[in-house]
Amino acid sequence: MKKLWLLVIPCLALMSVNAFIPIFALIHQSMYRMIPGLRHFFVGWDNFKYALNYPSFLMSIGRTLLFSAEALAIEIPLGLGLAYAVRGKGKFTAVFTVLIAIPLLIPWMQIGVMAKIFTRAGVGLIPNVASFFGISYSLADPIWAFQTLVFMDVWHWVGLVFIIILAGLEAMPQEPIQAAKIDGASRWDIFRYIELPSLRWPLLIAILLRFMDLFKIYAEPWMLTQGGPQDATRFLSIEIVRTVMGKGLYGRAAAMSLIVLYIVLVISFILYVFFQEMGE
Amino acid sequence: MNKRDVGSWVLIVLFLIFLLVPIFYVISTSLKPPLEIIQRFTIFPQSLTFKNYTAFFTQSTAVAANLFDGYINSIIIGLSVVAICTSVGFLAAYAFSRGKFLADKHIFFWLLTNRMAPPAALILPYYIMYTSIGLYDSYIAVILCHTLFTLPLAVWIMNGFMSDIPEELDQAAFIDGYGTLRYFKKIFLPLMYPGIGVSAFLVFIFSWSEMLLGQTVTSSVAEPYTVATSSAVFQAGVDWGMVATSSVLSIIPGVILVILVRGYLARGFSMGRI
Repeated sequence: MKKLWLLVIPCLALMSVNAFIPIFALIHQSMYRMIPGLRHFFVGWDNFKYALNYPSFLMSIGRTLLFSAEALAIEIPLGLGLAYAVRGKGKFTAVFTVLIAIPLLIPWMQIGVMAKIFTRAGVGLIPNVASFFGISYSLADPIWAFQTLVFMDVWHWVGLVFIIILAGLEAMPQEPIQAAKIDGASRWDIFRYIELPSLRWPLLIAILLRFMDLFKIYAEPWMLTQGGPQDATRFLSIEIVRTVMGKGLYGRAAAMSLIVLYIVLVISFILYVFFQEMGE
Repeated sequence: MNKRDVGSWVLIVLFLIFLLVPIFYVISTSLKPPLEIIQRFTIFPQSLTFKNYTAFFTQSTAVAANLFDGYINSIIIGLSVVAICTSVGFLAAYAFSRGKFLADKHIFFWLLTNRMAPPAALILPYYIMYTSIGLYDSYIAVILCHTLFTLPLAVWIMNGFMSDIPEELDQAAFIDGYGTLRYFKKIFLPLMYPGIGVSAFLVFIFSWSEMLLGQTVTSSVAEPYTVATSSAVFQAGVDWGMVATSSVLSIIPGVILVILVRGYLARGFSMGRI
């Protein structure tokens, strides 16, 4: 079995159609200013300089990071708490796992559609529940629009965090915990010094997997708000799509895309190093 | 019951309300007549109607017919993507798990970056590429686009499962006189059934969920379900009952499939790393 690398060829052939050709096209476009159907001007690094000084683009990166941070800050503790609450309950744990997995199976854009149904002014679920508690809710308010998307993201994805952490909890050896209990350790000490260290890989995987999808979030805000109100939900992907489709600034959009792909490359390298270490 | 148990159950009950109310509300909206949806807030349908579901299956309105076509398209696309990714991905995963070759680690890592890349960055080249080779608005275009992020997923998941099968087993089988094909059929493949199943499941779910690339390379004939739903939402005078029905129907393939692979969800969703 010396020729194993031959088996990778079909995979690489398919990936090259989808990944190599578009990347080279992007690099080419990013060096030009294009007027569709007319002519191209070579502009060198101008598109990159423009993108890196373009407030709307930089703001969208910051907004995406803020959104990711807030969603993670809710999903990780909630998933962890639920995994502790639900584990070791036999049949109930199995049923709960299937229930919490249901949102994971819904197409991402349908989450935005559902949010749209829930937030219809006056007659939707969320405005009515909010007014029952005396809160005035409106999707036209930038803060509420942003928070609605966080809320829906938690609803959609907390199951992923739960499932991964529960698997980690169930794989955990019980002997050290029993020994610590006999020695009179408190519940908190057991969590802090025995359980948390052995949960670090499942936690890390959950954080990184969530981060990589949060960073490219598109369909949910697109369906709910298309980036509004007052750009409150104009995340990175929406910014790029609007630059391509709305303004037809292909060269600038290509430069933005390459900057984003570079950020992704760095983040996924960090992710990969962690995955590698975990295997050892 | 001690204090901690009570705390657990309070959290579980509150969470189940949070989890199930939206699902319930979407189903309830899909069973309401149009006027009730527009005019007032009701939790249970005041007058129950299955009109939206019959409209979908008999394709009696233009919107319903469009959604139905999209549903069928998405199933065709999803199954084709699964067939390609599990077969091509299985070969690649085997090579990565058993072989050493030039830049193997780098290629394996590079696959992951394609799973992470925002599709928004690629829509312009995709549009130009598929238009110029005459595949615009064809199933082949959507299927090829979807392999961009589903194939890395399949390779990573199956690779994770394969690294659990000890290499000593391969060698023992060959020493016992098993040929390559017989070894695969009798030993390796049966051990890999869960890995293949869960990667097929996730590949299907990701293809079923994808919207932006599908929107970029289709206009009508090969339009996936997500794109058809999006047009139903953005058209003037949106029929909320029909839209809610489309949300409910979008969950069904996943729910059928999740029951088959429920024991392997953590491995699948963590890309084979747990």
